[in-house]
Amino acid sequence: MGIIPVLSVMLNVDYSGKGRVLNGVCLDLAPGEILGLVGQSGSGKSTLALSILRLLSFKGGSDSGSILFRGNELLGASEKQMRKLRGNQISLVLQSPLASLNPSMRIGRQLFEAWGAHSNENGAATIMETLRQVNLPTDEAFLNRYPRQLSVGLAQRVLIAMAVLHRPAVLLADEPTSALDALTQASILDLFRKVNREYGTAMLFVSHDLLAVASLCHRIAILHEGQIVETGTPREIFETPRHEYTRTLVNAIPTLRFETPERVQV
Amino acid sequence: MTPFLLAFFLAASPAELTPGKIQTGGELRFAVPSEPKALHPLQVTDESSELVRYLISGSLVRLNRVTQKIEPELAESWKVTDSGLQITFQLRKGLKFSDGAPFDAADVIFTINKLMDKSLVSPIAESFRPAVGSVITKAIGPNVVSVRFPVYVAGMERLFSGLSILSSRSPLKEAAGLGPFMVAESKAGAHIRLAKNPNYWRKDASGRQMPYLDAIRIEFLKNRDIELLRFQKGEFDFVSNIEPEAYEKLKANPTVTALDLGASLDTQQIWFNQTPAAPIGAHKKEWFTSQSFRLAISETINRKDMARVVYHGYGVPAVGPVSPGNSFWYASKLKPAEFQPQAALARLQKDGFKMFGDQLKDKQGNAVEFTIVTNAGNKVRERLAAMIQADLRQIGIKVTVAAMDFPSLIERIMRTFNYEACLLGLVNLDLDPSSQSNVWLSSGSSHAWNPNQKTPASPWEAEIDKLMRQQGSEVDPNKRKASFDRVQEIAAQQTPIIYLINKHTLVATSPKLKNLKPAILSPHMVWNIEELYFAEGAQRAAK
Amino acid sequence: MKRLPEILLAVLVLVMLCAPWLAPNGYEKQSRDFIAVGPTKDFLLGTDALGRDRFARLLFGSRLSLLLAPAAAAVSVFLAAVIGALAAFSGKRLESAIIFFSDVALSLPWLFLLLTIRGAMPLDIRPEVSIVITFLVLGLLGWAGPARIVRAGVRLILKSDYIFQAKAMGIAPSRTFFRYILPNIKPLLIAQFWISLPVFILSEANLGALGLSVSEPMPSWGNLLKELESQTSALEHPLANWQLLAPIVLLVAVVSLLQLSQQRLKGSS
Ligand SMILES: Nc1ncnc2c1ncn2[C@@H]1O[C@H](COP(=O)(O)OP(=O)(O)OP(=O)(O)O)[C@@H](O)[C@H]1O
Ligand SMILES: [Mg+2]
Repeated sequence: MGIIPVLSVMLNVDYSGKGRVLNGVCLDLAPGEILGLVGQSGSGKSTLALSILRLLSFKGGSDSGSILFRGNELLGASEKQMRKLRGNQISLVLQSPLASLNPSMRIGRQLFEAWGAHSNENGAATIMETLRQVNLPTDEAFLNRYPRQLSVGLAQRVLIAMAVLHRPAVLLADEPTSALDALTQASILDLFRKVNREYGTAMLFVSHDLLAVASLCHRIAILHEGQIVETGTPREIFETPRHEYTRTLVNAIPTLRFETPERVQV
Repeated sequence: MTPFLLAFFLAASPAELTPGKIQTGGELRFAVPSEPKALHPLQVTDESSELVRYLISGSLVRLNRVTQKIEPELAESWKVTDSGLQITFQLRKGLKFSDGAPFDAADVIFTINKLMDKSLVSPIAESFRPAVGSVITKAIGPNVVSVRFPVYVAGMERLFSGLSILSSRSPLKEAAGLGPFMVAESKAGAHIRLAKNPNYWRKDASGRQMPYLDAIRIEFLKNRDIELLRFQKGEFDFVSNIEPEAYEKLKANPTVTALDLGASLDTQQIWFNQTPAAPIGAHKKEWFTSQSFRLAISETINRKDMARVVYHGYGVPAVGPVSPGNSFWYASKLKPAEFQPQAALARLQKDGFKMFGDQLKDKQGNAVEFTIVTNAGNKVRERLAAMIQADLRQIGIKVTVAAMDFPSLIERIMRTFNYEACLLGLVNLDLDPSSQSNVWLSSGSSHAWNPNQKTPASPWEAEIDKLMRQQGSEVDPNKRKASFDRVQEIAAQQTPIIYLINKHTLVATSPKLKNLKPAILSPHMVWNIEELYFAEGAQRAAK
Repeated sequence: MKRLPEILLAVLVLVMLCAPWLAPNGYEKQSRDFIAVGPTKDFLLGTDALGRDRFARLLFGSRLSLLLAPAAAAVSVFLAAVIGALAAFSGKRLESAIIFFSDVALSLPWLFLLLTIRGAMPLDIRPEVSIVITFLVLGLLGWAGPARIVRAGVRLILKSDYIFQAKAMGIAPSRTFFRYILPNIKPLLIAQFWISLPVFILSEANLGALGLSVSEPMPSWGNLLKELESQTSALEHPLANWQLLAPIVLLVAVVSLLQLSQQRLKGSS
């Protein structure tokens, strides 16, 4: 590929008492690209996302290797520099939307907090615009709500709005649709597509749902036992999987769909 | 005779108490607040032990608690010679200890020599160990003993009324006694039982062997409410030292006889700190060392109200260190300080004090306020303090009361002198003023307002010093009294200690108990134990 | 009426605040011709052993307890918030030091400590000052228990997704503390405040019963209860001398009302 990646990762991660979780993971994310990261539970997907934001130390992990963001090495960056980057150039959307919002702060206030973290200008116009983009109401009544007054889907939209407020170059989404029902899930996936299209945001979309990933992503990386075992377009992954593990993953999905529950094999 | 003494005699001899036909037998029961700590008669330091000692042992002489005079006991007579340095006792003949061992001069010598043992720590032992020289005891015959002191001891014979004579020969050692009773059973934490001593020496006029009672059972009971309850149920035969509130209740109970014995020897008093080294303001020291300030305070305190409110009328305004209950030493000429707040205020104003609104200020403009320290948990004292607070407020003086635990209080008044005024009570056990030397001599450690002085701080303290030495070296009781009367007079004029109240001694007894001669001196009810008996048919069987 | 306990408490506080008008006799006036009398028109609850108006003493005493117990509770909860949050935030060393000190504070013989503190205080301390100090000391001594709860609460919050999300949004630590942590331990602090309120009221009463509270002649619930201890007649004839039991009745009432309203708070949150 001739394009310079916006994000280029080569990582080893250890947790104290757990040992090596990521072992030489290599990933490139092209500008405007949506890269799906698939792997089974515990394979280290979240760890990778956190490591890119340099938040691993809060969870007791340590990393080595290289994280190049727009040509800058993040692994040596200070906490202060990282804080300027987080939510501004690289942002994160977590799996459980309701728990990720401050329960004692109104929605509007939270959006302004997210804005104010990186800008001294009046963010009202941007916030309203972004809210419209993610198909959220912009009226007072909505902005005055507390998180507990939101549905999961609305909450996830709020989080996505906060994540793209500063038009980041990279959006890390850690299983953003797992907690949602099928319909909401579909609309959120649509939203990611839209954000990608409108703002040209590159995304690392973490999921264990291969189908969802296939419908959204330009490329898919398969994470297995701390390593990327295979990378390819959805078509390549589904039609000509090269790695044994990828094949197991792919085979696990479509065939099971119409089986009766009694015969499900785990 | 003072009105108080009159009241005392009237109260002490109501019809139920006068002897009828004497009945023998029965067990007397009463309670003491704590268990005796020592049964060795020479090692007594606490009240309960003292009581038991009194009941089980004999002494050469005895203080008649009613007449307050010394009477013959084991000694049938005595003589003080050599200008008060020597006393010679003529002992009764043929007396036996409780175990049958004979009694003679050897036992007296043995006992007094035993007191010389420095390891014996008790008030009685200390009073026989003068600072210089030693007490020499000699037998002049088998029944004549002389005791010689190196220095003059005023009222020497009274020392012997508290000295239990031990047997020099009995194998039972100090357990053999010459008293009307002997220890029969002692149950730790519960009670002690005394049985009558068959060898007791005393017989009544009709030749009958004393004591009349078979036994005494003394229970250890701290809770006075329970004691009163059980007394009213007939389980105890008498109670002594009753609080006024409880006394009023007993008075309303027709099945018991409640007696007001009049003023006790105890006093309540307040004094100001006059110690030069005291860490208090100079202007306050100036007030406290001023006679007219102290007098003014004394005159603003309403003692009659105190007697009425705090003691329910069972107390009398005090005149000085000696209570009217002390028949010989009471200075009957003295009157309690007059309650006259306006005169007191005028007295202060003459000294430059001025009222500003409701606040009195001294001539430098310092607000007149001080703190009275007292010990916490004493209801009577807390109430007295609150009354003083209210009384002094009337002439613009602000008083704060600080109640603290006893050790902290002692620390302040004896060592750091970090206090302004102190309210305390004094329990007087001794009738003789010699026992108060430590209070009145300016060099004394209990010279409350300014202790341990090298030289007297004021002319009047110097005069008191002189008078105290005089009364302490004089043999003639009347001359001694003249000296101590003068001490009391000076004390009243100078008011270094503001005496407040002498409370009454209140007791109650079962009407079945006869021959009682209740007294303000302890042991109030049983000092004539050998004479007590139960009315016919009222004897409780001794278990 | 769900808010009945609060309304009743408010009425009580209001009555107490009106003490100077409701009880013109004042709490220290000794009517020495009316010693320990029963209820009359002039003395609604009779007089005490020094002829002081029991009703006035009850009102003034309650006023002190009802106003100062919340102050003491506020002091201890504030301390608990600062110390507890500090413990949760700080490094291992400081945290274990704080835990150690709170353990020590919890196991301290506080009665003994109070005795020492009162002993060290100057003697000429005004009754007004003594009561403030009493409650202040209570408040100062009361931080340890709530501090541990606050610490646990803050730790839980620190582990929560929204704090993590805030970090991932680049929100500054101080802002995180004031906007994301503090508001979320507020319910905890309020609960601690309500829980410690009756505790402080009772502590003062206990102290007073030991003669360690407010100094005479100022009344407090503690002092009034202490008086009761010597009033055997109240126990012998509880119905004939009901007025003597008034302080206990009021104390029990206030503490139960506090418990009730606290339970309601807990139930609603
Ligand atoms: N704070 C931590 N300390 C120690 N080990 C951890 C920690 N967090 C995660 N791990 C371990 O690291 C491995 C990777 O965890 P991670 O959360 O990255 O997996 P994941 O792929 O995101 O799984 P899931 O799909 O369940 O979210 C797991 O085995 C997990 O047990
Ligand atoms: Mg994960």
